[in-house]
Amino acid sequence: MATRVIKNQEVVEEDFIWQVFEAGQDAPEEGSSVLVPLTYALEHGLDQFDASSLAKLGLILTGDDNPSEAKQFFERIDCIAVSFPKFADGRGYSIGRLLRERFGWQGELRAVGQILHDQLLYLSRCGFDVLELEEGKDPERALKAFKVFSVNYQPAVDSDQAIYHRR
Amino acid sequence: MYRYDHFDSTLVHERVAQFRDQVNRRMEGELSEDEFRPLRLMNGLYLQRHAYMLRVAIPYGLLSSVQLHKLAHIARTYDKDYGHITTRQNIQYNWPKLQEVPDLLDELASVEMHAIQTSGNCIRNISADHFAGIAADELEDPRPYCEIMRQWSSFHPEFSYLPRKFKVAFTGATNDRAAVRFHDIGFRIVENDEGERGFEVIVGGGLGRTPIVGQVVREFLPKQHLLSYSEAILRVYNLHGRRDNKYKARIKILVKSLGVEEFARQVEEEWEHIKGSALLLEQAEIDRVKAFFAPPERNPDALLDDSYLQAAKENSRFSRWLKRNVHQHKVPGYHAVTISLKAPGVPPGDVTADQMDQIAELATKYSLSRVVATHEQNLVLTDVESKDLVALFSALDDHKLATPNVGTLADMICCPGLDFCALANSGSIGLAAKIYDHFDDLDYLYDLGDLKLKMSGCINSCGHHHVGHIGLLGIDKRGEEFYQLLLGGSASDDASIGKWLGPAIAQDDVVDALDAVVKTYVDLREDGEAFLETYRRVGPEPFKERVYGN
Ligand code: SF4
Repeated sequence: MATRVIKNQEVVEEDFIWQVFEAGQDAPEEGSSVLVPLTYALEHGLDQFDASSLAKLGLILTGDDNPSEAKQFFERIDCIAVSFPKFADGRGYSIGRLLRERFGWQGELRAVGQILHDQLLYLSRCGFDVLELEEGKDPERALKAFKVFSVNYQPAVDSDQAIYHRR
Repeated sequence: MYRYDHFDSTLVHERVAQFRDQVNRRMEGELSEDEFRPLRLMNGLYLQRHAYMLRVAIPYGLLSSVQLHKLAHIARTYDKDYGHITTRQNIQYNWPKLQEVPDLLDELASVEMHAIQTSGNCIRNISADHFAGIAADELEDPRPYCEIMRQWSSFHPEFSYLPRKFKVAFTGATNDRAAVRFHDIGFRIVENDEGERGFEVIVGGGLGRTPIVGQVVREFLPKQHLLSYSEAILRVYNLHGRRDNKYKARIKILVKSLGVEEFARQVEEEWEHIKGSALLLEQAEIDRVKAFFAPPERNPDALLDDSYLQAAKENSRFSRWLKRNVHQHKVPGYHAVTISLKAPGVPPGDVTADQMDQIAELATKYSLSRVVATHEQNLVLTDVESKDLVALFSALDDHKLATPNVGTLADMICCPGLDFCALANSGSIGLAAKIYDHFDDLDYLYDLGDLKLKMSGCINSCGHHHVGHIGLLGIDKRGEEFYQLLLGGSASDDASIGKWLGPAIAQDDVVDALDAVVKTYVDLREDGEAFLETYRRVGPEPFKERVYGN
């Protein structure tokens, strides 16, 4: 099965599925792609996940996590996912910016959870390059969300200029 | 006043197109009501008791005549011929149809207005001292900073899904007329020992269920850091504000639970990282925005014509109006004139389409085409010359806009209550009518002096009852309308939160209770003492005895 996601503002099919690792679970199968919760990684490290036997390894953060603590794992991972359990929970926007702007994460930054059409633009402005829409939502239709505004008032991950630098 | 450049106008028009698309997706069923709700709220559209209500932003309360004419036109075309001025200097329409809202927004955009972020869990429309730019006690006009902040906060990608709404107010004056201690952030323009201007930053004030006076997080913030420091505050709040309970989600609860020192420490730490970022305001931008608010050219002879003083001797109605509704202006020979929207028989804060047009015309004729909406739900003509006062009075009087009750008990603040609001326990508007009827003797009202009566229809406190000298809060008691009576609140420099006087009072008895309160004051006041001073001196007991005594 494949997942259709929006990557860099285009719809792409991923030929793998991210599995979120749960404490107590058996070691992930060879060739799978695994997201390890940051809290688990902090407690147990990532050594038990053999990067050479996995297709991909990433971290998943929730709004309660402190993104600075992810930094120590940057070298060993392919992706950071941030979960938005409800679209109204906006902590992930700050976490995204901090990961990009303060801690220098340059790899894939993925927004998962209740991700809807009208959040896409702000998520991408906050540094998310892969957006996994909530199930049942059509990513093609949602692409126009990126075109809503042609200018922005404030600097963010996508632009280090405020409007007053362009006036 | 600020004029849009092509960036501002592009953004506002793109916003209308976005909202039009959202409404279409809702109508076609692509968006569920649950998904649509936060989107429409972010654009000021509420579902009320009977219909949708649209809240239109009046940034820092300032309107041009052209804009006010447009608001009148909108009231006529999309509503039932009136609008309602809110306690945050905005205007609400109670009857727009969902399908027509995008067109209404297009009309607003044509006069550089919008409904952006007038609701929802985001940074709301910025409010300011309604005498900004003309007050004699002002160090500096705060509105350029409001405008800079309005732009930064509009469509902020990081802060559009905050734990709860976020309100910001500015003042540049020594007397606080903007209630900066009761906002999520209040900025006061101050001068440091070196004579530089900057902001005192007050965080965590607010009303609602848990009224709290804000605390100073930074005594002096250099101006160029306005945005970076705000971003630091908002980031700490966005990450750490509570999201598990909407009644504990405002920043005031975070500040309280961390303690102001720890909160300030976290903000300063965050700020250290971003103070040198692109958010650092350049002087050129401050100057560019300031130029829009530069004082207008004045008539150097304005002071010479003081014939209005003679007129006041001959016409007692004019003289009353002069005393209550006309205020000192920093330039001698000019005056600020408050148009009371608290006329008997009219819900407080309501203004009809015809009145809006008339006020806009009078502003063009007598007041540099500027009108300001106040958080006390009145309108102000900010720049009236002495020579025009008599003519202005009679024109206002013709349109029932010269009610001379500004600052008195009858100039009450009142939320829409049961008549419109889905959350209300009580019909505050109905009670307002009874109060007008009872306190209809102007001389008596004047004798009572400055008295702030504030009423809310429920604990959400849109009518600011906690900070009224006298506050009334509607509650539901076994299906009956009752009111809690609070005394001793103030939203000004001597900020304080009113205290319950005693058991809730049935709607029918509220007027008698008010009567007992003011009579107690009259009996006990000492020379020239205002209500609040007497209350603070004698305490609640004598009031309690008289209200509940027999
Ligand atoms: S105070 Fe309550 S009743 Fe009044 S407008 Fe606010 S929510 Fe509605």
